[in-house]
Amino acid sequence: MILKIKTIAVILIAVIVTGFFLVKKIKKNKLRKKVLADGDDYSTTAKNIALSMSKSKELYKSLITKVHPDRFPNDIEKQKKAEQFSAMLTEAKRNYSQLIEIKKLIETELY
Amino acid sequence: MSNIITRISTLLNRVVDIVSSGSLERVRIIKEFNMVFQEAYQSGDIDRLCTVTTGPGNPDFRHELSSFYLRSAFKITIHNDSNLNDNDYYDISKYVIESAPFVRQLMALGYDTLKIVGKNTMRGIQIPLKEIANLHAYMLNNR
Repeated sequence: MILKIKTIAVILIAVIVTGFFLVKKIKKNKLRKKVLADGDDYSTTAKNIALSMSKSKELYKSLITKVHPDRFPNDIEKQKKAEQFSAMLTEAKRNYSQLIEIKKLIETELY
Repeated sequence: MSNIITRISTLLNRVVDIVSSGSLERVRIIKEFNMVFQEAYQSGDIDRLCTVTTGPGNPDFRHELSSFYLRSAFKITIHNDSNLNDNDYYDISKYVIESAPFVRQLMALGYDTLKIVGKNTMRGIQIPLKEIANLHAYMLNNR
């Protein structure tokens, strides 16, 4: 009788422990899939990193001079926008694709 | 001869990655990066030839999705590494860790360490990915 109870207890503990690790693994896999689906594909990211290494410095320099507030001495609204763009550019300094998007915005909204 | 050894070690690395992670994702990311870096170097877009491999990570940088520490570093080796100082390594790393979604992708693939090393000088840096992107915060924000 005692042996039976011991066996059942051992089996129960084994089931609980296995279940715990299984649930943990399922949760991890769920998170992994979500994160992987959230980003760009690897090729796009790799290309952006390579382009950022080679071209972002130059692009940043040319854009930051374009959005200098002194370029719009008579237009307060544009000055404010230029300041915003300047902050955006500084944040995306090393990201080529983001710099290109900001460049399009600058061209449509400031010039 | 060295070419054959490189090919064999690449093949072995791929097999270990597939077996340890249970998917082809790690092989894909490394293949894509190596292809893009090689093309960029050959076309003159970048002046340093970089190759990406999986290497041993730092056990102190572990996070909840880390794989076995011997396979947990996303390692970028710079082949023409003459005249590179520590600041240059940090500069290169900044381009890689610029995008938080990409860092999270690396973490989801089991990487916990970003290593940038010079092939000849053997110098380099290692960066804990968990300090760049936080998986806990991501989980809470995307419930």
